[in-house]
Amino acid sequence: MAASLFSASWYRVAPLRLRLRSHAEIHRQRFRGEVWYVLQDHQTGRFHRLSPSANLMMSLMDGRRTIAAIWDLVGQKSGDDPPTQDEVISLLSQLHSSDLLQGEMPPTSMNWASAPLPPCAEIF
Amino acid sequence: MAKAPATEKDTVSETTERKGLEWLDAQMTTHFANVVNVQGTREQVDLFFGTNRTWHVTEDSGVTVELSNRIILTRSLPSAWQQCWVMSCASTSPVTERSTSNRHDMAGQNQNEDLNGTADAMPFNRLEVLEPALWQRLTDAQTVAEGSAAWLALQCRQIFGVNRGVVRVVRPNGFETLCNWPDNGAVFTDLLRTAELAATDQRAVARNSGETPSVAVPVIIDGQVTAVVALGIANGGRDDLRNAIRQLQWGVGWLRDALRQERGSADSLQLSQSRTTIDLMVTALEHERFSTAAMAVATDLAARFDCARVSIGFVRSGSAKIVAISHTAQFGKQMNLVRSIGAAMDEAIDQRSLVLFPGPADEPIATFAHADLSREHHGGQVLTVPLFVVDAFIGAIVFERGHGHDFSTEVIKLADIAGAALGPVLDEKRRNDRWLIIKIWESFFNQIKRLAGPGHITRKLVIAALLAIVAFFAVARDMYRVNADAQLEGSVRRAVVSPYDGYLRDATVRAGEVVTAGQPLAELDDRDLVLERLRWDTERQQHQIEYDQALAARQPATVNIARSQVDQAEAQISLIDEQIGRTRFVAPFDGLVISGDLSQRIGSTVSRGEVLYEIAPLSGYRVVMQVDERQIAQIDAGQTGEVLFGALPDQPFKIVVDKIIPIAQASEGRNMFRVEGHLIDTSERLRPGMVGVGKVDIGERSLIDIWTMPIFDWINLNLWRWLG
Repeated sequence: MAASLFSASWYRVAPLRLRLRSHAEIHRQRFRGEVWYVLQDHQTGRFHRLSPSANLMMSLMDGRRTIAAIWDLVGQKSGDDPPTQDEVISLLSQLHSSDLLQGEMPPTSMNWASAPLPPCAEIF
Repeated sequence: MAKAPATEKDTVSETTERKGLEWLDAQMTTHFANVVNVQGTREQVDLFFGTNRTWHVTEDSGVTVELSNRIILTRSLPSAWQQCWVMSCASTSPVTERSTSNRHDMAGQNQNEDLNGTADAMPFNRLEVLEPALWQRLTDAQTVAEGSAAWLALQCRQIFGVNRGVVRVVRPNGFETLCNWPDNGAVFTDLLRTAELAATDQRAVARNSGETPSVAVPVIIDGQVTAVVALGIANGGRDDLRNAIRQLQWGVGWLRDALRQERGSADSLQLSQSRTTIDLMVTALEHERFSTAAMAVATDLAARFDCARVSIGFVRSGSAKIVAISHTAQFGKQMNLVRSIGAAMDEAIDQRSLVLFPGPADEPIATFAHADLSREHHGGQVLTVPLFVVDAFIGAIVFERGHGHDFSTEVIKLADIAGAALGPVLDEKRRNDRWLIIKIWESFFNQIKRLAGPGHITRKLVIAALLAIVAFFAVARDMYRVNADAQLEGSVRRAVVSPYDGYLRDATVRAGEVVTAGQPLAELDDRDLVLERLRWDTERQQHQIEYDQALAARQPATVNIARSQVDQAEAQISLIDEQIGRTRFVAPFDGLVISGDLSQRIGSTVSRGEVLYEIAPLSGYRVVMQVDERQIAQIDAGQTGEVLFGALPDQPFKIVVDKIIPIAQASEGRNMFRVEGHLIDTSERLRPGMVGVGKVDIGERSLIDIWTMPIFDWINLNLWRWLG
């Protein structure tokens, strides 16, 4: 099924200015010949695996850019296969539920979308 | 002179604000005063009036001044003035009208908006005094764009009837408008059209199809149109247009000069870039070993680009490994600094782009590793240039500068160019400086990759065909046979031997004749023997008489002697009879005389023991083969085979191996063993002594075994000889 690029819930996250909390650290890893990024949470000791485009998003989330602006930038960079808005939303919701995001966060944003796990963020 | 008082409501952004000083401009009133006689080169003088509202000034608190009035003094320099105005007020949309009926009234009407947007008419008369300022700008101009704006303003003033003008330059991707006159943001579509026409025709054109007539003159440098100047002439007649073109052609010389200078400086920039790049490449090439070359390049780069540290790394097994750090002979690969430089390289290589941190805000580039490197080590700017060779990013160069010492755009560009040039050179050196065995392995791996990867159809077909052939010969089986020279012999060979010395009297057969059992072959001369027998016969009779006399005389002793002598004579006679019998040779069985030809020796002597004939039976043959010692171990009694004789090449005979004579004979430099076998079926045409080739069947084996066995046997033997 071809996922739509746009999401109905996008308006909730689009204006947010988020950044990764300082206790999260990103390491580059190679699994089976592909480059992945592992997000290490120094508070909980958990690890999250990120795709290169998710890593790019994390890097651009500096607390000054909005999610919408970041999504546009990532879309420019990734060319033919940009991350869909649903993927971004569920990535953010996962990071948020792991207490890894910091910024103006609406209380209702806890439940941004009920999208399935995207391929770009896997918890193992 | 006009003063245009207006109520100032918006924030005035052109006011310079220093930190700690707060300007309250809510109550400020703005007055414009266009002054005739202001000397100096500044376009505008602002006078601010206000009251200090800060009561107690301390070191760290700011000063609050409430502005009440300001007076802005400007000159009537339309293009420069408006440029300044537009720059400072983003909301301004000036509308400029110029009465073009009279040359002397050219700059007469000038409508401007103030900051509120209320349009107040601000008429300007022609101000001769502004010309020196324009000339000053023209001579002070640093760039072509800056200078051409002043030049266009001056040119438009000098040509009668000009109401607008445009300068366009040719860039690689098309035309670019360098400046407009008047510079109020309007686009003169008809002038652009005229300019295009002039550029296409490469000559000055006059066009009268638009709302106003217009002329355009191309600037041609080295035979190429570099820029075009187009002017709109109000109410211009034919003569006016011609005049305008002539004057413009005269004036365009300055523009040509400026453009030529710009091109020259671009060339010299390129030249210095090339020189830097070549210098770096020479640095890389003049060292023999890769590690020293890389270190020299890193140090050179650090000195050239004024960097705190320059590191060069190459990708190995998926991540960048540092090979050289500037000014450093030894470094630990596990040190945090080295690892974070490696991480920065990985980041740039993974994203396949140059990474600058801190860099421009709108670049979609992940910079975690660069941020780490910058934060952990010196807080300065980090620039990473990935090295690209053929079709892959093979490494990166990291440039680091100290805090507050940022990379300029030129340096970044130059670093990029240097990276592009150094990448292949360093990579070539690195490849060349590896162990031979690694090179061999890589070459082998490349071949495999080509074989498995796309393309190279012929190579694949050939390899597939070879594999198919090898597979076929590995699977296909054939009888393995041992070849040997073979000779046919009779199963028995009977010799006919001379029993004693004598003379040959007769020989009836020769070698090659078939004889039957009992057939006489040859005879010796027996005349001596016959005479001898006669002598002994008479002697026997003589002794018999003596015996008879002694018996009659009753002399027993003499009787006994005589009887013995008779017996002796009889024994001699029978001996001689036997000898006479042996003078005739007869064939002992049916067979073939295979040697002996006495026909030329009739009457000559034969000595005792001399072989006169050899006879072999015709029914029983044996095949004697000379087998090479290397193959003898495989031959066993009972094995079957075939033999083909040279005399009967169309008729192979089946043989069975009977026995192997376990004694080797050297012949023709090789050790041969004698193997005997017998024929299963015989033929009338066979003759003992025929020579041919025998093949003994050993067993079924694959073809490849059969062919390679001698090689492997040889290798085994020699390996054992030297190594075993």
